[in-house]
Amino acid sequence: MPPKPVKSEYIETDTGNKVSRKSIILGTQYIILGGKTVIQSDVCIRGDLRRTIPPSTPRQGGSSAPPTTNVSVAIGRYCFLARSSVLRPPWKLQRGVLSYYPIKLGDHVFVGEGSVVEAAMVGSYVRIGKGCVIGKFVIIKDCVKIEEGTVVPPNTVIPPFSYVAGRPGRVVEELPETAQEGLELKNIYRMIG
Amino acid sequence: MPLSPFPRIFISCPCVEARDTEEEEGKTFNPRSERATFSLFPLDHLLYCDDCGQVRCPRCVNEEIVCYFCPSCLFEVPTATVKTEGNRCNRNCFQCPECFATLSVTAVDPFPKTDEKTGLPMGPFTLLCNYCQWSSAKHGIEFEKPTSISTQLHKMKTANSDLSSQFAKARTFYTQKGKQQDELSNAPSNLSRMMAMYSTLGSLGGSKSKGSFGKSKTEENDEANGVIEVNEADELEVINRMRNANFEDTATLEQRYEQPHKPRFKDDLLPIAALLRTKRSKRCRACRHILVKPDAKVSSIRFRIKLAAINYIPQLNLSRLTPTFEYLNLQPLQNHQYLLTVTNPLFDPISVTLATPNKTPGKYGSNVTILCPQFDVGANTDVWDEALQDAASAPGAKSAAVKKGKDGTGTAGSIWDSGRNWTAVVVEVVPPSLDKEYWSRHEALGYQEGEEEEGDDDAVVQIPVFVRVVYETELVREDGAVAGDKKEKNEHAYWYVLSVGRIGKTKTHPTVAP
Repeated sequence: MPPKPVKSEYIETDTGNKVSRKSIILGTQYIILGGKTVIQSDVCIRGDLRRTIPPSTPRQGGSSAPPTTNVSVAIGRYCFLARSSVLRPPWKLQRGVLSYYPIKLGDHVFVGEGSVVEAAMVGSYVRIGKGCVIGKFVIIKDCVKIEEGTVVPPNTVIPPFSYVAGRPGRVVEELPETAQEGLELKNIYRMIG
Repeated sequence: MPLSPFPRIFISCPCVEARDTEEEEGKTFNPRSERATFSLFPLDHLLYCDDCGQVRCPRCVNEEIVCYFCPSCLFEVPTATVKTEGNRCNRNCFQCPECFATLSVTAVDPFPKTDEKTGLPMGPFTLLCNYCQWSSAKHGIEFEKPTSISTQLHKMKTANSDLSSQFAKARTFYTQKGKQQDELSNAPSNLSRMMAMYSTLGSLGGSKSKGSFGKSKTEENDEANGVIEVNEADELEVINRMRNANFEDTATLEQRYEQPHKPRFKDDLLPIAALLRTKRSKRCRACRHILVKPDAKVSSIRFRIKLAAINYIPQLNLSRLTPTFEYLNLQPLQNHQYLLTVTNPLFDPISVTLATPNKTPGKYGSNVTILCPQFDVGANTDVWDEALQDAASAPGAKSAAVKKGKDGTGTAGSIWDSGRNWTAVVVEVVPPSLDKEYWSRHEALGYQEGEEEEGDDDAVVQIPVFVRVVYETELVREDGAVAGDKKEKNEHAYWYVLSVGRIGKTKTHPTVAP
C-alpha cells in the first residue's frame, strides 16, 4: 500500500484563501471570504452567531429596514488571521431579545495572535496586534494600527490614521501619510503555505 | 510609544545641518549627539520636495488645516463652530472622565420601556463608560433625551456652577478691551504709547511701574471682569472633605487636567466632550510647494498629492545573515554578519556608495566593515517588464550575476545577492565588551540584563552610514516631452543610522549547578 500523501497545513480555496486545517470555523455558509485571506491554526470564526430576529420587523415610523442578509462574518481580501485569534459577531439586547449583528472586515486586515475581535466594522489596512480585545460594536476606520495588548472598549469609533494603545485603548499618535503602504499584507500572503 | 524592535533604521534630515556651524561640516554624523534625536526619522515619516530635491521631515514642513472633525462621530465641524464650541464636539461624543474611554448614551433602566410611537427606548438616559462602568447617573447627571446631550449638559452646567458665567464675564471684558486696543493701534499716537508701556515694563520696581501698568492690573482684578476669587469657606469645605476622603476618592493629576474646573474629588468629575481632530495638508517650508494634500472627506484615506520619501529615496533593510545571534544580546568581540539590502524606488538604475566610520561614535565604539561599499541597484521597473526581459535574454546571464555573490560567502568587494530593484551586501559588526561601570549603572537604574535603557543607551550599537546615490534620468522638457537621449545626472546623499542591536554579556558555556 502506498504511503498516504502528506497533507499540507493549509487548504487553498478557488479564490486563493489559505485556511488551516486546524482552524475552527462554525457556520461556514454565513461567512464570506474575499479571497487571498490566510486563516491560521486555532483561529475561531463564529459564523453561526447570526441575526436571529429578522431586522425587517415593520416599524410604525415607516422607515424601510435594510434587506435581510444571511452573512454574519464578511472578510475582505488579503486578510491575515494569526493563530488563536477569534472573530465573533457582536450582540445586544433588542427589545429584550438577544440579537447578533454582522461583523465586517475590510482588505489587508491583520489580526494578531490570540486577539478577540467583536467589532461591527474594521476598515482596510488595519493591523491589530497580539493579544488585543476589540469590544462589541467597535468601528475601526482605514489605516489604523493597534498596539499589542490593547483593550478597545465597546462602541468606540477609531478614526483613520490612528495609532491606538493602552487599556482602555486611546489614540496616542497619528500615523504618517505612508501608512497604507506599510500596512499592506500581500507579501505575508505569499510567504504562507 | 514603546521602542520598536531591532534593527531600527533612521534617516537624518539635512535640515539639522543647515543650523550647524561650518566646523562640523564634512564630519561624521554622530547619532549620539543631543541634536541628532531631533533629526532622525524612519523613512516612512519623511516627505520629499520635488522642487528642492530634498527630503522634508515633520520639522521642515508647514501644516495647513483642511478640515476639523470629531474622532468619535466622524462628523466634519465647520471652522466657525470650532471657534465657538472651543474645539470640542457639540453632539453626543463624550469621554469618560475617569479612564478616558468613549461614553455611550444608555437608558438608566436596564430594561427600558419603549415608546409606542417610535419604538425607541424611553429615558431617563445616562452616559455610561463601557470600560470602567463610570456612569453620569451615579453623579446626578441624567438626560431626558438620548440626543443633543451636549446642550442638555450645558444647561445643567450653567445652572449648577458659576464657573461658566465667570468665563463669560471675563470673555466680554477682554473682547471689549481688545476692541479698544484695536482702535488705539490705528491711531498714529499709538507708537509713543506702546513705547512708554514697554519702557515701564522694562524698569523693574521703578517708580514709573506703579503708573499705567499697575492701574491696568487693578482693573483686571475687578470682580465684574470674572476673575475667580478664593472663597475661604469653599476652601475649608475642600479641606474637610479631603480629611474624610480615601485616596481612591481623589482625582488623579491626569483626570484633573482634563477638567476645566480642576476638581479634587472623583465625585466632581464631569464627562469630557470629545476633542476634535484635523486633516492637514503640508507644504515645504523652503519653497511653499505642496507635499501632502489629503482628500477633504473625513473617512477617506486617499491623498490628492502625496510626495512621500519612500518613492524617491532608497530604502535600507537590515537582517541577520545567519540567525545565530540575538539582536538584544550581541556577543562582545565576536563578528556579527548582517545583510544590508538597498531597495531602489526610482525608475532609473542607481549606483550606490556607502561610507561608514571604522569605529562607531560613542563611549563603546564597535568595529564596522561594509564588505562591498560600492555597487549598482537596478531600476524599479514593472514586474512584468522583468518577466519579459528574462524570457528574451539568455537564461544563463541572470543566474551568473547572482552566483557571483553566492560564491564568495561574505567576501570583500562583492555583493551578496541582487534582484530586480534591490542589492544586498554584507556588513560585519564587532562590538566591544562593556565595562563593569556600565553594568553596575544599568542595574542601579533598575533594568534587567537584556533590557534596553530608555533614552540613549550606550550599549545599543548605532552605525552612521553615509549613503550616496547617483543616477541619470531622462531630461523632461517644460512641455512634458522627453528630450531625446540627453540625460540629467542626479544625486542624493543622506546619513542613515542603523541601530543593529544591543551588546550583551559574554555568554559562558552553561555549567551544571552543584
